[in-house]
Amino acid sequence: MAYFDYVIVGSGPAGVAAARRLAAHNLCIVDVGQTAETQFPYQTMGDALAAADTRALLGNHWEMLGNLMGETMAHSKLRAPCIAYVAKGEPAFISGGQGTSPISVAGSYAAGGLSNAWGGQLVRYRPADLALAGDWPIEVGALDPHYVDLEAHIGISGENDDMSEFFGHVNALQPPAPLVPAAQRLLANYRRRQSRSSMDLRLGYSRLGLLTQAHRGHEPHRLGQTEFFTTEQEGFYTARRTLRELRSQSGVTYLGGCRLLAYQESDEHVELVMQESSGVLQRITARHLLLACGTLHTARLVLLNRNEQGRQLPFIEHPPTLFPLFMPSMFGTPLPQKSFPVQLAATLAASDSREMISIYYPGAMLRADLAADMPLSYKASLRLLPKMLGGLLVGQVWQTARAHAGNTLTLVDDGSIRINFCHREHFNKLPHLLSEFRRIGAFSLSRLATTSPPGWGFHYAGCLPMRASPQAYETHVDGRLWDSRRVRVVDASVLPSLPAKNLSLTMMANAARIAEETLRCGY
Amino acid sequence: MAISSDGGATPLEKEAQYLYQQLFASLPSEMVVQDYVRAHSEIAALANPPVTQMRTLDVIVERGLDANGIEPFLRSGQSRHLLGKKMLLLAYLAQCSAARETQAPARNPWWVLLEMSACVTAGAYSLARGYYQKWRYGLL
Repeated sequence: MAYFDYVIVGSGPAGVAAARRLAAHNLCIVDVGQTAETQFPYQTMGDALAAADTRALLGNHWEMLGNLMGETMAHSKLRAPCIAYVAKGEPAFISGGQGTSPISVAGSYAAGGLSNAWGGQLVRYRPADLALAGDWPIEVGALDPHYVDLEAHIGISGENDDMSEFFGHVNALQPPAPLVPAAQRLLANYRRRQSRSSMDLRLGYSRLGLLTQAHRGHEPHRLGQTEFFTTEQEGFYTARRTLRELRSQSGVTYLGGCRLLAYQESDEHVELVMQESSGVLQRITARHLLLACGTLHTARLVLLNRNEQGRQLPFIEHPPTLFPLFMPSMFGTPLPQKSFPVQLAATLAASDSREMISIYYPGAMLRADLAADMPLSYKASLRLLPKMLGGLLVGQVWQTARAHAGNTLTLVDDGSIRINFCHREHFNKLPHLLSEFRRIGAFSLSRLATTSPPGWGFHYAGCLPMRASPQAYETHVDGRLWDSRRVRVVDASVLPSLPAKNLSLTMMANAARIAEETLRCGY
Repeated sequence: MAISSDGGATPLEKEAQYLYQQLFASLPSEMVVQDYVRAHSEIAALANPPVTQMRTLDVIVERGLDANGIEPFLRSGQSRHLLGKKMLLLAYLAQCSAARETQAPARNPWWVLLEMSACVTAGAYSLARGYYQKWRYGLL
């Protein structure tokens, strides 16, 4: 039986971040490692539209139309024919309380995990974020060296501007990606206004894993507006990039096409039983096992391994609030041929809950996707959109999310995951936020805001929260399961609460921190 | 190339032509109609629609009712009415088949606001007509 000092299961952001720390120490990465069956054959969305390639855009099996045909999907990105594979994990369903039908949510078996579909916002948590969210048994100081290391590894674009207090000052940022005209105008209006009279709103560039310059042999991003059609984007960071680098290193064994079925821990080692894609069972032994399967799969695996069907675990998610921002002075401006969805980031400085507001340009989406959600007839929506798009941005508010008795995850008898998500916070600062945007020429109405359904944002966390003194189904600060010496969890399952910010970089930094703790553990 | 709306078309092709005309005030290209028909044979939700919704659609096409005005009144909750599904399918096909312009030329924002106002006014009229027609023909 093959023996490894360290085995990491999963190649998502947490898995590769931990793997980078353990790569020189007889490491094995176990991964289903699914990839796209088809490739999007165009460099830009404009090329695909010009070629009138309906199959490339909508899919050979009309996958892109899943929203209107009744198949509910977590996020519009996850419908695209070349991206849908990312969310083909074990069956998992979420319902938002009594009377709502459960919808499928995304667990991933993809190489690179859910990072294949993320927006690439890689921001740090600050001490105030953890204090507000509560329950964290570690300080931001424990994550700081890993933030710095990961930022250098990934290559982050952005600017140390008014959002620096919120995001933290990052050295060696790449220049930010060019803004679309509406976002340019919004930022210029904000800076002019802020210089005259103080505003509660803070607005600036986000921090993106998007290369605007070459970085460690990787080319800059093309800004071809293909984010909603393909995961193959040179210059845009996903965990697959790090996975490729890890696989080329000696001392790292990659077992692709393998699904972990069970593990058995003894005093000396952990024995893993895996199933290859051919159905053949394989066994390996590890000194330490690190689970990085993603929150849903890791929770399922831990429950399954202990035969704990029916047990409820906490489940944390922060489904965002979305609202349109109209800039009438920009209506009718030519639409950019190049752009990236994430344009700017904002927060309310005086807010006691420090929500992160991401501001998107929706030009990379198909018009029908946008028209489908507009409160007008489709004809009116389709006529208005081309005129409005130059002056349309979309705000997305991330709120703090904590464990709540109404939000739980359960493994049911058929082996699937059921999530009840009955409790969610209402974003009651929206009127104030919109009034701040109004001061800089962007208009909206509270009633146009929509709250995305639970599961939509695929920021899942908190099923096995880390504690200083863990109880059953909690984890130690060094990632170990409550009753384990050699089995650790490194993905977002261990995050005890979610501050009102994108969690991705922190999830990675925490995984790297746990990997270092594992190296130091002395057995 | 736009196809003619002559009598040789199948019911599904006629439906595509009618709904497309309602949406874009022009005839669909042959490619859009072909894809529309193909989608109906490959997507279960279109191939086996609820009978009452199918009847509603038939009435709209046969009587030449205002599909744009009626459709918003058939929306309920998360599930879309068959009419909405078919209109959105045509919207996707129109953009992806390059049948509709994808770039808006640069315009003066005030002129755009005027156009938008006209569009909203026409839309309001259409909605009023759709509301009446939905009631008049008992559409579900």
